[in-house]
Amino acid sequence: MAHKIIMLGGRRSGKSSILSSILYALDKNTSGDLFVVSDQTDYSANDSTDGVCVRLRDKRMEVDNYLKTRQKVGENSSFLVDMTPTKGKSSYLFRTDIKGAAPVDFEFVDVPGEWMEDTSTRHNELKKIICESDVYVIAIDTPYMMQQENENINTVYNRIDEITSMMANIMIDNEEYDKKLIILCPVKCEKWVRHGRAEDVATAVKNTYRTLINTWVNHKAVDIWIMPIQTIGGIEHSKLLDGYRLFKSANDKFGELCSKNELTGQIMLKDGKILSASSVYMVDSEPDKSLYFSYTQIPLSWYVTNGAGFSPRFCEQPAYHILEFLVHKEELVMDMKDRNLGSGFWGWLRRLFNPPFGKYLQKYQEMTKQLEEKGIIKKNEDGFIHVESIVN
Amino acid sequence: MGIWDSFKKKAISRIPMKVCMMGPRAVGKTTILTAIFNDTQENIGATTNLILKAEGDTNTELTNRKHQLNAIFANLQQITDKPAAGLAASSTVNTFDFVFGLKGKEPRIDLEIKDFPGEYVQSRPDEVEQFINESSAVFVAIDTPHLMEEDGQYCEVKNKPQVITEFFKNSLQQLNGEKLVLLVPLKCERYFFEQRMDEVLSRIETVYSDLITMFKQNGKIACAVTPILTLGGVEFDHIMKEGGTIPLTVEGCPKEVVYRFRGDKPKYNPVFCVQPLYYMLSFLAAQYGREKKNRSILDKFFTTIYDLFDSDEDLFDEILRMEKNRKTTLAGYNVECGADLFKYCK
Repeated sequence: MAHKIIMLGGRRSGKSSILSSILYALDKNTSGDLFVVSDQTDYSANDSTDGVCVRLRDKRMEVDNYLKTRQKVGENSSFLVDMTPTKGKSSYLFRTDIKGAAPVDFEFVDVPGEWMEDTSTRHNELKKIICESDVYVIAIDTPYMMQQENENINTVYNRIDEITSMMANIMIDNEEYDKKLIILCPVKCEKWVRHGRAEDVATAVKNTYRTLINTWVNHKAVDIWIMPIQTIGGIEHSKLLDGYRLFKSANDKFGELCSKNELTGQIMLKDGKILSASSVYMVDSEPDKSLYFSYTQIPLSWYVTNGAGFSPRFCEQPAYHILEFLVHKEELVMDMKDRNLGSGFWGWLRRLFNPPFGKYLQKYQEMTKQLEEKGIIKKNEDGFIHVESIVN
Repeated sequence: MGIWDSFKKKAISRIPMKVCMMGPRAVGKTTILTAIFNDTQENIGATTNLILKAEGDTNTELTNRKHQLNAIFANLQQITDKPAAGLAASSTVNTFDFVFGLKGKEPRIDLEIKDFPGEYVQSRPDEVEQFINESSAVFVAIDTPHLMEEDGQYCEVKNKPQVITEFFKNSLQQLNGEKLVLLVPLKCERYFFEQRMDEVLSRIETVYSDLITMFKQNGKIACAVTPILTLGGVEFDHIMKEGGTIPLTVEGCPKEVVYRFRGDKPKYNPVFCVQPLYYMLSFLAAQYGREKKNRSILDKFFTTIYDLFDSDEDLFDEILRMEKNRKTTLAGYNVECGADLFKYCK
């Protein structure tokens, strides 16, 4: 049985980017004598059930290659990233191997934001997944969260109300041992974290997710962390601008998304090219209605490269925290079983239906202890915060 | 916990709790419930182990309205109350569904709030009466600018205090036991910030004096005035006039009531909106304390909210603890009668 971890967030908020970068960072930054991680996802199963599922390694390579191309173009042009969201629900299976123990699987369930709407036919399925999960990773698109212009842009884009409502369905069997972990994970935060403003990001997370945090922070069974991670490193948010539709000719029926430079009036294309307004056939005078949700025009988020190339930071940290949390949870469950079932026949029988680490729990305890002792698990600084009190 | 208790706890999965909401058309009931829900979710979430969830269409509707209100504030859109245009005005009954319980546990209470417009109270009193009989509480929404402005001359046509008084006069005899009635003035931001809530309270006590007197004489009704600020960052500005006179709708309401934003960066920020729920739960807990001693064997065959409290001590204890959050000294608040009915006695 795999540990189930649910990924929540708005559309295109970066859920699959988090997984892709976790996999890459664990591979790169975790010493093999601690553990080895591999992607055991059955992509064909994912594709057949809910549409096309992004291969995590392909996604990483795609980003890497894109960055190299952009560096050739130069660092001054703004561009859009990853406008194609993952379709449908995807389950990713990560396997950890440590010496002397059987492999343990972790299932990351990436659900589309649309499922959080009560009108979605999959809403109840999502509720069930929420009930079954122990770990909740909430992807936060940082540029939308940090803008000050219109609170609704963040609320709507990051689906804060829907996530707060959905998280009200957490079920806790017993607060002594049925622990839950919530990781609020701001991504695309390079602009702030690399320039000493990680605490501003953490503060914004606290304020914008206040209802969610305040609902659960004092519950004995729930642990809440804020972990800003840089899934790319080499790009930084530049600005939010309304999206318009550009038509290149009279025959162009669909057009393409662009923005207008506020100062020069030039047209900015998603690949970073700039056109003068006079050289194009037509640009709609009103912002594109396909970007209008819940009474709010969602602007496009433009990025620039910063010369750092593909250099993710702290992306392994959510995985370390999840591992440490799950090992601790299983310790508590086993303690409870020892207390309630004793070590006799019934205890032995019950232990046959063990949680995932099972008889290798001790090995995993030793491994997480090493992570802790070597200071590999990040507990503070760079916006990492263990949220322990009510946000006023 | 004994085997019987344990069985009973499992058997009583959910208990229905109903609230009857009465009030004028076009007062913005969805806006009120959006405010009550958001404020309650935030307040009880932070201060208690209780959780309130909006269900299905209600959740969609309230989330949608919250986003709409946020957008209105972000774009500083002019807010006017135009009953003729009738935004959200409806003469039909709307139902809002919530569930309520302890955090991390299956919800134990299905909370159904039915909104009956003033016209409905007149045209189909039996239906309203029946729902009140099934309800734990009645919320009477009052449009405060219509109560306060122009010497309150539009209060009767908007808030229909006489219609509501007449309704209770006829139906009070039929009511099956203790009830909580909350008079809930809305849109009172301006009077709150101008520190005129005593004036609002006094006006309510005058306009609804017959109703309050009737409740006092009845002895089974707890009645309180619990003003709420449903928007926070917006306040009444003026009633539109043309050539010195106020244009009226066919019903006789001002055609346009204009609101203004407060400050440079106004925010959608409902205040005190959790209080009606605190009042209701305190009342129920106290009622449970009184009635559990007097329940007949026959009563025990019917599953009620009291069975839930009997079987789920954790939930009941949490509701009792929540009592400290119920405010009686906020500006404009007053328990008009039945203060003892809020007191829980073991």
